[in-house]
Amino acid sequence: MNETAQPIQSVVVIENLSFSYNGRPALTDVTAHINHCDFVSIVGPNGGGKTTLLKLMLGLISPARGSIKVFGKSPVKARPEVGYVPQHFHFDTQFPITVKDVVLMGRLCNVSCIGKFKASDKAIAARVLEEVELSHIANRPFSDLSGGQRQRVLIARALATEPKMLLLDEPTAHVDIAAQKDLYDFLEQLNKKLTVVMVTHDIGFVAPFITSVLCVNNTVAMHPTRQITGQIISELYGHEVQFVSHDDSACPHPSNCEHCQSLQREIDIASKRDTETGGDHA
Amino acid sequence: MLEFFEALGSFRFLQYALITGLLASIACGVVGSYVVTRRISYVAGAIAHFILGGMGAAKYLNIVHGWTWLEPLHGAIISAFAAALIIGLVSIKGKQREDTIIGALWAIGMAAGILFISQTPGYNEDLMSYLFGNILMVTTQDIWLIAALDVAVITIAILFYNQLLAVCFDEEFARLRGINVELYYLLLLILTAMTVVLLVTVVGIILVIALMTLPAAIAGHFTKSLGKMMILASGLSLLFTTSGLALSYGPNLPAGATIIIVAGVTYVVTMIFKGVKTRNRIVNK
Repeated sequence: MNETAQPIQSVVVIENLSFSYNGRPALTDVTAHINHCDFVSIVGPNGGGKTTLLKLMLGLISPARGSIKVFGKSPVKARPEVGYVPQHFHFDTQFPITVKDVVLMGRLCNVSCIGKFKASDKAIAARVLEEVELSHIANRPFSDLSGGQRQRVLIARALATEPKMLLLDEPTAHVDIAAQKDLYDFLEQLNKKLTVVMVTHDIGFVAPFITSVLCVNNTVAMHPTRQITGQIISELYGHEVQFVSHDDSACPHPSNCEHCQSLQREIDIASKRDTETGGDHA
Repeated sequence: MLEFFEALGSFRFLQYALITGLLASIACGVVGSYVVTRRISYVAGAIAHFILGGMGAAKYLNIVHGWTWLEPLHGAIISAFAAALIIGLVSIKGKQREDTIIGALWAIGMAAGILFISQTPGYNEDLMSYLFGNILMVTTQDIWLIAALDVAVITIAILFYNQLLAVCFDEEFARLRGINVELYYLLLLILTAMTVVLLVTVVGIILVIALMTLPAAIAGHFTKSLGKMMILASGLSLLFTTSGLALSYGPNLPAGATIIIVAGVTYVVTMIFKGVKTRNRIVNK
């Protein structure tokens, strides 16, 4: 999407970053960058450091070594420009709160806006609810919703902060397949205006709109995605598929990157089913 | 029950008891809803029990050292604030296990209170009234202090409603929106401490947790927003204190204990009713 020679604006710049939890290294010597309007998927095994990377981008933790800049600032200073969407199933299901109130939380500030929300804030909340097509359930309790709906409410809350970048933590976990498809379509639309970065547990074939994949397993490898041209594979999976190419990007951990391996396995299986070899993977 | 309403016209102490119940109920519903949704009822319990130390010390200084201006209620306020600050700072600094500190404060406060009271000449009836409430012995001075605490609690709780709601619902997101989560948590604990003091005058130290959490817990079953939960919880709290007071008057039962039993029975009945309803809904599906 952004691989042409347009002037590229870096949104996240990570340089030689290391982080460890009480001496146990979580991320080592990471260098990566995310450009404006990229759609980045962060993948990797559990405990590989995906969440750590996300927390670093949000400034919830600071690196032991190296640097991370978001919109050219420290992550803490950049928070107003970043919309964060946490995992939806971590919430107290008994908490009495309506959909509208959850979304309005995106308009909060520390002390300068005490008391009631302003009409302009309410208008923004109503607009983003419209955007995620949940206006009709604005007054329903958050706890009554399905996983997919809750996820969209949390996206609306993040959008209510009017961000330039959206960070999502496993948005498709505990969401049924149909809702996942809707969610990706919606994120693809959003990606026209803002940068989208999402952690995904295991997405198998990477969706076609993703511009790059960050493989995180203590170290980070950044891969641009390339399109497969196999007609059969498209039919097999019902939509266009892309895969990570390791041939031209120096993956520092080709042997231990589980995600890369599982992708390779899936591609191999797909290739065997089709007598023509699917694509240009080396 | 009828005797109560007949007596209400002629006895000032009953009128005071009713007013105290009303004032305490408003704060109880508002702060109790925060406490229940944020799941910190054990913090409220620790603050309540820690108060005995403050009340005992105040009574001791009052009688033995002649600090006649220092009332047990003053001691309760000071110690409640102290307990809230200690628990809050421990939670924020995170160096110690919070539940250990809660348990320690709970017991240390009780122990200190009993030591002070044992060294204070006079009737041991004081101890009983601290533990189980003395709503029938509220003075004009107490009413003013309770009213002031009430106004403070409600003003803060309404003014910072959105921030406190965010801190209770999703602390991480609140932090990312630039909200000083630690400060608001501390504010919530201070509100809890003030409300505990209010409720101690109604039902006493030991029964506080029930009055703080039961109305909010019942209200939570029937409301879909925190604001509505607060209003309903306040109403229920008022209903429990008033009916408990009225029921206890005729047969000369302890008012605090009667209030808690009324609240407890209502809670159990609601749970059963709710359970049956949910089961029916599942069967109908």
